[in-house]
Amino acid sequence: MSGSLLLGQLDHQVVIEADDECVTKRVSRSFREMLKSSRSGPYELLEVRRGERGHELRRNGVEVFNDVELSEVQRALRHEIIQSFVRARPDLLWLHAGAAVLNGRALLFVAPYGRGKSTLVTQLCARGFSYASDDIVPVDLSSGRILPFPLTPFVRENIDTELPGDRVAELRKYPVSLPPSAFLTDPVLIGAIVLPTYRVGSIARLEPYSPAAAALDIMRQVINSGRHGEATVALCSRLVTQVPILPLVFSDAGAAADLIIEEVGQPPSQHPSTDRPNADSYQYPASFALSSRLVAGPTTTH
Amino acid sequence: MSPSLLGAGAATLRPRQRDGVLSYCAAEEIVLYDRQTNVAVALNLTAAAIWDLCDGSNSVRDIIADLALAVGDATRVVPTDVERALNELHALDLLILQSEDVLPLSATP
Repeated sequence: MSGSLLLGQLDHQVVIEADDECVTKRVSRSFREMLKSSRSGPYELLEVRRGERGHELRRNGVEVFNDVELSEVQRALRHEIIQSFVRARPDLLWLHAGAAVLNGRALLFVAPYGRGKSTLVTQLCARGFSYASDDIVPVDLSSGRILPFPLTPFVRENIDTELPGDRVAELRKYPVSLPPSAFLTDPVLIGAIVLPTYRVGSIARLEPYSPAAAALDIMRQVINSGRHGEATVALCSRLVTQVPILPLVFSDAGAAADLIIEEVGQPPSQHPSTDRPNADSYQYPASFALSSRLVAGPTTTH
Repeated sequence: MSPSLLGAGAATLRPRQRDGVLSYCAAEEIVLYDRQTNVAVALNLTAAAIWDLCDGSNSVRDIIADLALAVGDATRVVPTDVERALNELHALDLLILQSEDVLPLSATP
């Protein structure tokens, strides 16, 4: 049984057509808050068709994938949908991050997949924060504000075991239900940035960090940094200077959420301004180990 | 491995930041961005101070002396650290190591 649906966000529309209804059902679940009932203006068409040797994915009639398993084409479709929005709005900086909002300020969770972004965002939403996204955050470079990109939040099962990055995807994911009133509707400024790391058995704590290294950590999660190289570096450097950075290690997401709330309630930390190191600030070794090529951004998850 | 900058004659080299490398403040540290290669590099406080001194007028020896004075310590740590930092910046093609007789125009009498 075939299915079709329409997604719309950020003045862009994507039509999904599939001859297997489970494909559109899954898209509907993952992009529930972006579902639209009527089309207006141009759109991108993504089709999933079943062939003799597997499934194929087409974008505007052009084959993107073919002869793949259903689960694989579903993952690819989610990626293509997000990329469609990225392509449609190249003026925006697209961050691989989660975001929750309180009092008109966004708390960004910037990290590669499997570090607990979705879990922490949904924990904060349970404590009164609004939901902006759990995986992808568009940033308006002219205003510095993030825009809503309301993917349905999914959290991974907690098996109390650390897995290498390439195995995190094996964990089952569950959608988290949020009331419509929990979703962010307007652009907001970035108020703080969390760099989370899940570590089994660790109490929730903040670790010391290097601002410049934190800027690079954020840059590495910019999906379209190849287009906005200079603007990416400028924005990330400005952010680590102007907003609190919280390099968080945790195992209990609830305790981590409480710690974050405690921290963001504090005034932003003041960084000393120093041209030359003195005896107390000399950092040995003078390290350049953290270089980052910005041509290719990270791939999206799920 | 890069040749030693502290070897015979090398301490008189005058490192200069390559044109097209942008520098951004990241709190008290620095992020460099090379527009040609699209590479960003994080410099800690010490590295940032060394980078600032690479204006083409200071020799490697000057940079070591300046930094040692700033930290109040002229032990072996500073020369080794400066050498390492300059080597890494040079390896990333962010620095030009010009010899003493090639002074920048601003230094020409």
